[in-house]
Amino acid sequence: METKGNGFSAIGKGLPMVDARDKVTGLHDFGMDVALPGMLWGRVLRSPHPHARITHIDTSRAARLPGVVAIVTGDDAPRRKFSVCGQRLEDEHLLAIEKARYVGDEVAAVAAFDEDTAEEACTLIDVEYELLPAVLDPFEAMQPGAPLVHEHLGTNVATHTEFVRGDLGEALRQADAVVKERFSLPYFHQAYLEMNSCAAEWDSEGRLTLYASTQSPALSRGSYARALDIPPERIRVVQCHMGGAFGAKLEYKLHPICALLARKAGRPVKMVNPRHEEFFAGLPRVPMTIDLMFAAKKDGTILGKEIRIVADNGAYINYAHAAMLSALLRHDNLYRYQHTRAVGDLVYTNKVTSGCFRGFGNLQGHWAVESLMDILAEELGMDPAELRKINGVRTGDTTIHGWKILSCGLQECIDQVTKAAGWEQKRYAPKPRGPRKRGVGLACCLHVSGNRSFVPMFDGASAICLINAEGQVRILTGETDMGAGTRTAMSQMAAEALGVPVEWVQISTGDTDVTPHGLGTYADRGTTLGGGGVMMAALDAKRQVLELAAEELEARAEDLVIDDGVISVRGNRDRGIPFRQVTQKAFIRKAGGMIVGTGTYIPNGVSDIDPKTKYGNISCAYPFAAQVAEVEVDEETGEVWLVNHFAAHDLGRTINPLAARGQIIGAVAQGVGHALLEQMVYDDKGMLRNPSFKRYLIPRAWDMPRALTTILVETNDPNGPFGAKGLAEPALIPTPPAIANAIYNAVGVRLTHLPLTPEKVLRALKEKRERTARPEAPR
Amino acid sequence: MYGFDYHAPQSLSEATALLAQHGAAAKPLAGGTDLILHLKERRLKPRHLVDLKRIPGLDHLTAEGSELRVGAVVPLRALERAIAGDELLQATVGAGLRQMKSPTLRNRATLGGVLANADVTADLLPPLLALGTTVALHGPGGDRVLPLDEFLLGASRTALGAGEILREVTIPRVAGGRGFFQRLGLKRVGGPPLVIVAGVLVPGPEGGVARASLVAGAVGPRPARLPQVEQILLAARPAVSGIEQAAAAGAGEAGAVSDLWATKEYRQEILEVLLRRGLQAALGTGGDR
Ligand SMILES: Cc1cc2nc3c(=O)[nH]c(=O)nc-3n(C[C@H](O)[C@H](O)[C@H](O)COP(=O)(O)OP(=O)(O)OC[C@H]3O[C@@H](n4cnc5c(N)ncnc54)[C@H](O)[C@@H]3O)c2cc1C
Repeated sequence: METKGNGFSAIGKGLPMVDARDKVTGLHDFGMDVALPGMLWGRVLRSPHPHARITHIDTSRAARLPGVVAIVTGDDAPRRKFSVCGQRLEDEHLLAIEKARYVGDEVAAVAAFDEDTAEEACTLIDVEYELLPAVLDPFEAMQPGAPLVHEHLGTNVATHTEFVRGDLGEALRQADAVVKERFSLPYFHQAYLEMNSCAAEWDSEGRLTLYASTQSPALSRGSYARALDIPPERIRVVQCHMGGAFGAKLEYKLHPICALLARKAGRPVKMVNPRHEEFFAGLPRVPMTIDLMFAAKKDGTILGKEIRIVADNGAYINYAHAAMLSALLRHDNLYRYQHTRAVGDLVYTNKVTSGCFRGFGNLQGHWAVESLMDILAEELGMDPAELRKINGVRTGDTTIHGWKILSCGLQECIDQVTKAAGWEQKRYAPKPRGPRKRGVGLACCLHVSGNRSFVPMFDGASAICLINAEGQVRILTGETDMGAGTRTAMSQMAAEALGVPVEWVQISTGDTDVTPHGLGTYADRGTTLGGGGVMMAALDAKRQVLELAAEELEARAEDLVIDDGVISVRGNRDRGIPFRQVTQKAFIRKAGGMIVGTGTYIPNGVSDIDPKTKYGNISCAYPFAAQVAEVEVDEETGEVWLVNHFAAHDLGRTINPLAARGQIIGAVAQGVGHALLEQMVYDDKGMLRNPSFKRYLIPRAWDMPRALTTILVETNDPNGPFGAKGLAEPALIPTPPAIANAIYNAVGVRLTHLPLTPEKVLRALKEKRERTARPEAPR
Repeated sequence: MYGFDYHAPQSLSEATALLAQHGAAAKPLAGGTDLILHLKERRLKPRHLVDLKRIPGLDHLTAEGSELRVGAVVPLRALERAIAGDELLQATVGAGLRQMKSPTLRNRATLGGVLANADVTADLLPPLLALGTTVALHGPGGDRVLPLDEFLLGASRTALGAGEILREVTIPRVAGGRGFFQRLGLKRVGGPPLVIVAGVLVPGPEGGVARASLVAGAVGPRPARLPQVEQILLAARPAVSGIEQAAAAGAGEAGAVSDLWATKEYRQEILEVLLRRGLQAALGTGGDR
């Protein structure tokens, strides 16, 4: 149904992923599988204490263990501090110097003949720690006199962000209703299957090659150059096939530590984090506490909004400042507010560094906003879908923060999803007797397709399109495929642009010596911006092909078309010539050279945001979504099951419906995890209590709804290649608030702190019963 | 180094001799589904693994007469098949087995492994306790038979002595018995259970019960009988009239604790709900599910 009638040959086809066959037959090599001749195995020794001064490290016992080749400590690492791309607050050493700041902090590393020896050697390194009081709660960390995670900063507040539009006082004066609530989210782990890994090798000239599965070889190269204190041109990062990342695998410290070990050992070194270390020392979602207020008129118009966030940065700064900004700002562009105020503090604690996770801070922000929308709807006696439609932005809007909404399918998403879900009937049907109650809840979101404010240099992408004598097309891109199907989408886009069958196209992703330097896959930029670059490169190659074909066909290049690998004068396919005939000719003319198309895609009208006011159009295209969750709640136990789920997504244009639906289904699973199951639990000593999949509860097939309806809404964005916008991140964002809103509809309790465990639900039900019993009590 | 020697003894006496010889440095190996994880995560570092699966006479399963005799290395999948036609065992042990959704696990894990493991959250322990299961042990000092209740000492602690091997498990058939199994976990199946309750009731005269055996699991250091609940049910005429009171008593006497997953108070509330639901189902008063 998706392939016919859209006027395209490759776009819109539900093709299996280009690497599907290799994956299901086990032939696919992931970063973890990389093996270099003569390589050693490395392991990290991590701090067992949340906050401790390192007074002495004795590596002599470890060095004597047979099989150990090299040991590195802070003394072997550069003295300079570094951080991730674009981060001005450089607060991290490659290996801890003076202090360890969380349980998991890298203190030393060992390279040995095999993994077991490296692991055992780590236990033989004697580190003397002098324990320091730890600060674990961001609110406590903000108090005067709290232990300082980084003394020289003089405060635990890493960044303070504040911006205002309009006049909130005015909104409050005009308002008929004011609602406010506090929401929170814990650390969520990305639970990618492939652990972080790396293989590092130096050549005799002092050039480093890193084989890693990273979301951004180019950002990694720059950051690791600073971490290792060597010029970036001495580093080559080769992107390996990724076994999932979900935001966790931008820069990661294991990679430069591996390089450090390899340099000292004089041999290639391979490192793979054991699973529990992924929990202790990964880069989980930024935990936030969010105070949110809406001021609205009786007719539903929301006049003003105030948001205050305290975000947990953990021990070192990663991208949490940007995640917090996105939690403060992004959803303001979903509804037509007139007056807003946002205040955020990002606070250091002695816990794991928080980072990026699908949806970035936008998930945190929407958790609060989309919950409070329902609270407001109740207060105003309005239908939640209606309230959202009244306030929703529309095509052509420039939002309060200057975002230019060139395409907006929000209204259509709401209409379609509520219709599919049977909203009216389910929402307002009387509840049956008995302990099991059903309810439906709606949540919406908008997101970005690339985020100009994330890294400072530019946004946009380039690609190279090579066509050989046989007419095979190879795309070189610096963007990466996390497993979401970016290469599949790109091959469809290149095939469409060139007019050749998709099977003729191959995609090569990042190798910083070979490919253009893409910023990488994050902020939903892979398909829209990366794909835009691919399309431009393919069009450039096509122009060259047509010029040659014009000679052959004795026609003007402008009059030629390529369709399914045949070049002909428009309307005259019978007299066409094969694509390959032209590429052969190019091959001979160029003495074996290939046709080389280069393409750069820099979207129109995107600007960096003003550093103070945060005003600016940060992305070229904004995807929208609406989801309806249907839950069943057991009033006696507090158990919640997602029994049905409906997801409508404005993705601009569907490049590959199979991949698009896969993204939504996977995201809803993650959303179920966020909503009902997952959390990283720290005890009062700063120790993570659940560093394994046995104790960190991700959903499995049985926790998913029986039926999941996906609806793809096409709005054909003028900026996106073939009209395409981002999808993968917004697919997750509405799920947790939709579930919370459905619980409210089912049993009338409002839960504000994720995850919504049965115990929390039951406690809320009890409190509700006590509240409703009270008015009858004698006064 | 993290190596170990693998032994595959051909007889019980050879196995006990190996275990006695190496003492704490040796571990019996059955399905390995738990033990291997411990090795991998370095929580245990035995120098010797003594595989019990090659020993003749540990893999029998006989279902004659009034009891089911199961060799220690019989995989759970075989037990599942053996109880397919038995209503009481289905409602108890079978329901527990159905929680262990993974077929690979059921093919690999052994009944002896489940018991020797003595995991407080094990799904099978409450039903086996409620049925009055006994275990036969073989050690350097000979053989002995213990009720499961005496075999389980606490969290991951059993009565197994040095060099001793769990040889056989006997599950009695309770004539006319009706059973139930109720569980609440954070995931729909698998994952940590917060509360498990299992029970076996034998109807008696005047609508009462002649025998009641109720067990709560996953709430305290080990799965345990609930004697107060049993007393209330035995005294009630008809038995269904005692359900509410029995369920309330169970919440108190199970010794629920707080942990990572739930507070003691929540566990107590759930115990009451699950006991009530289980008893209603077993005594045929319908209930909600
Ligand atoms: C993926 C997975 C999912 C699981 N899901 C569930 C679940 O849903 N519900 C549940 O209840 N459990 C579950 N389990 C736990 C599972 O039940 C246990 O791992 C299993 O029962 C252990 O049996 P085994 O034969 O593999 O024992 P092993 O791992 O071989 O041994 C376990 C322990 O018992 C000792 N031992 C074994 N046999 C004997 C014997 N005959 N005599 C003396 N000592 C002995 C061993 O030395 C070891 O200490 C799960 C485990 C896994 C890995």
